[in-house]
Amino acid sequence: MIEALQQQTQISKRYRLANGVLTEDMLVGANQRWVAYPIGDSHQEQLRKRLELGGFILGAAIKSHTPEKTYYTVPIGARPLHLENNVVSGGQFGYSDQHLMYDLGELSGRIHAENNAIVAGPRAETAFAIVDFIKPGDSHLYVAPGAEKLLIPTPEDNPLEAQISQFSPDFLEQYHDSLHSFADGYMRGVQ
Amino acid sequence: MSELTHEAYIPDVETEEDRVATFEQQLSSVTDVRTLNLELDLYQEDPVRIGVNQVFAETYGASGPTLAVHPNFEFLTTGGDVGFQAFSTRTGKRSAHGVFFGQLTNKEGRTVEVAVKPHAVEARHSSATDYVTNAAVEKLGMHNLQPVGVMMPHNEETAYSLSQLDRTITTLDSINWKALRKQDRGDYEQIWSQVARQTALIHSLGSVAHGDLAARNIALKVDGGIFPMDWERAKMSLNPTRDVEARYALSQEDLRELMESMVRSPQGSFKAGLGLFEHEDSWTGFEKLIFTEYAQTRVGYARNPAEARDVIEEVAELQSSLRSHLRIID
Repeated sequence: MIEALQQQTQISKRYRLANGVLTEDMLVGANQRWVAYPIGDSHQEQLRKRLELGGFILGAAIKSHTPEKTYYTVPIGARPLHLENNVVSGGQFGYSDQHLMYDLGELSGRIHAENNAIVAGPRAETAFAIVDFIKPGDSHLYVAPGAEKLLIPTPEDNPLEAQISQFSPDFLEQYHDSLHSFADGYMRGVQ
Repeated sequence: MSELTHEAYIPDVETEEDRVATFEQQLSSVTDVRTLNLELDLYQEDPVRIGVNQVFAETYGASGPTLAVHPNFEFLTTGGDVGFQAFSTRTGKRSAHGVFFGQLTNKEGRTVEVAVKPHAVEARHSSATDYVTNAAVEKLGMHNLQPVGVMMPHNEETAYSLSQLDRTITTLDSINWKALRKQDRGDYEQIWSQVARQTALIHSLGSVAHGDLAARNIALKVDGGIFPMDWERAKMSLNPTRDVEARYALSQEDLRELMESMVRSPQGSFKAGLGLFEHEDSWTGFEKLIFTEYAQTRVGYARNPAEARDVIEEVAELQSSLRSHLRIID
C-alpha cells in the first residue's frame, strides 16, 4: 500500500470527491483511484458497513486499512454531484436531470428506510457521486465514501422535507424543475 | 385558418433509441471487417482529403456494410459478428451529430468501449473525415481520443465513425462553472489558462485549426489536463503560411467559436453556452481568461523575429474582429 501511495498523482477539482469528511482523493499508479478519510467511531463504522452492504457507497473498501484511515478504491471517472451541469434531454440512454433527481430521491429514501437517517447539510449534495457510462440496470448515483459521518437521525416530522432542507440553496435552484422527481424517487425509496 | 397545423410539417424527430437501434441493425448486417492502414503525410497541402480517399479506397467494393478499423483494434476483424451494448450517460447530449456510447464485443468476447457518431447519408464522407482527422491528431502526437474505425453502409444508410471511449475525461460543458468558481477560483482559471495555451499551440503548428472549438469539444482529464477533441472540421497541414489572411481565417474561426460558447447563455435556444460572463463585461472576461494568454503564447512560439511580427499583426486583427463579433452576439 505504501508503495502505491508513493505513486500518487494530483486529481482535478472537477473530479475531487473531497467534501470535508473525505479528505484525500488520488490517482494511484496507472489506473486506480483511491479516496481516504479518518476512521470513525464504532457507531460510524457500523453505519459504514450497513451502507456498504446496501450497495450505497461508491467503489469498494480496501481491506488493508491503516489504523488511522479508511481507504476505498473508486471508479477513475467518478465525479461529485455538486459540480454537474444541467442535462435536460433524456431518453433510454440519457441520464437527464429528472432521472438524476429521481435516483437521488430514491437513494435518500432508501438511506432513510434502512438506517433511519438523512444526509446532513448544509451542502448535502457534496456527499453524492456520479458514475457516467453505465450499462442499463447499473446505478449512476452513490454516496461518496465517508458518508456515514454525514448521517443524522431522521426527524419525526416530514422526513422528505427534512432531507430537501439539507441541500444548499444553489443546488435546489439548479434542480428546481426536477424537485418533483426527487419527491417521487424518495417515496419509492422508503417503500 | 387552414386546417393544416404547423405540426403537420414537422418531421418525426429521431430519438436516441432509434439511432442506437439503427446502428445495431447495421452492425449486425456487416459483411466485411477490415483493417485501415492510412499513410498520412501531414506536410501535404490537404492530407485529410488524401486520407479520406484512402478510407474510401479501403472500403470500396464490399458486398454489404463494411466496418473498417484502426490497426490497434484489429481483433475486431477476427471472430465476426461484432455486437453492441449501449451505455446510459449524461455526456454528448448537446452533440449535433447525436453521438451515443457503448461497448463493442466480438465473437471471442473481446471488447472495446466506444463513442459512436452517426453521419447522415448526404454527409457520409464526414465519417471518413472524422476518422482521418483523429488519426492525423494522433500522428501529431497531441492527446486525443483514439480513433477506432468507420462503418460504411452499402446502400443509402447512415455512416458511422467510432472512437474509443475514455472514462477518465469529461467535456467542459458538463461542468457547473458557478459552483466550481465558488469552490476554487484557482482551479477554474487554471482550466481556461490551459485552453488558451493549447489553442495557441494548435495555431502555431503550421496551417492547423480545430474548426469547432466550442466548450463541448474540449475534454478535461481526471488529472486536470485538457485537450480538444472532435476534430472532424479541422484544417490539418503542417505547411506554414506567411499570408496573414490565411492564418487569420484559421485562428479566428476557432477563437470565435470558443468565445461564443463561453459567452452565450445556458438558457439560449440557439447555441446554448456556458454563460461565464453574465456578471461582467464579456470581452473583459474573455480577454482575462483566454485572449491575453493566447496572444502571449502565440508570440512565444514564433521561431524568428519575422514570424513574431506576423503573429502580432494577426493577433491585433483577431482582437478587433472578436470584439466586433461579441457586440453582435452579446
